[in-house]
Amino acid sequence: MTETAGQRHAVVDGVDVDAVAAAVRACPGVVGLTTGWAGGRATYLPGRRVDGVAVDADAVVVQVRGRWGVTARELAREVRAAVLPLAAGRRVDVVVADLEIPPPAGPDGRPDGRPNHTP
Amino acid sequence: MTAVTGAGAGGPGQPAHEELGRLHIHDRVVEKIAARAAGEIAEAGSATPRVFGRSLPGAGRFGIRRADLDAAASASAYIEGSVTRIELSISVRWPASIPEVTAQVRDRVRTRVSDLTGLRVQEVGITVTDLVTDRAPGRRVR
Repeated sequence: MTETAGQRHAVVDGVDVDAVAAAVRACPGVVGLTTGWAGGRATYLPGRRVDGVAVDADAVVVQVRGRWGVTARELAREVRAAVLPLAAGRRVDVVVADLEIPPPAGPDGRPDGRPNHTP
Repeated sequence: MTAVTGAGAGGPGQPAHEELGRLHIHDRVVEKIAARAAGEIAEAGSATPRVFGRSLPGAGRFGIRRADLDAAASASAYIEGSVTRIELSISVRWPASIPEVTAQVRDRVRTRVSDLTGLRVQEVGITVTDLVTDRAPGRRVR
């Protein structure tokens, strides 16, 4: 966990961005949050930055690095279920910005390199 | 651990998809899936390394990485809406049939990308940049 003890949670327009980040990181299909590219989505706070979470007028945007083998649909479902209660009535937009590095391919091309937690 | 409870699968009285939020998938995600899917075909391997956009057939001699059946192919993806176009560069194992291998690769890439991302794969363009033998050709006795 990257959160330091005693750190105050930042609330942006009614959305606790630290709680959102923690909820997203707790999703099994998520490896981490990411800004995606230079200047990508993040929330800028005094003295720090919450990468991969942005609060727009009508949506909470969450940018994640997905776990290998998890479908985008499943990933979005997990993240939405986790963030919707924290989104203060906003939409939850999920951006799959990257994937974790895939495990080495199975020998002789068997499609077995996928993790076993696929639905 | 910060575990957030509540809002189980689906959620009660699911509103329309669009109300819940949008799902964006970045090009890089499709590229990784496509490159990996191509590598699942035993006869296909990585492309010849390119220097300034040109493949360099003799690159192995200068100690540059060469085409390799164990390495992943290189892929570029372009997403527009819910449709994606993919360009792959691969090498093929000598003496496998190039049409057969490319058909297998195309099929696998199409299946994997649409299964994992939900995007419709409009086109998989494949460039075969090299033929490789099983023996690592650059290997020398030290």
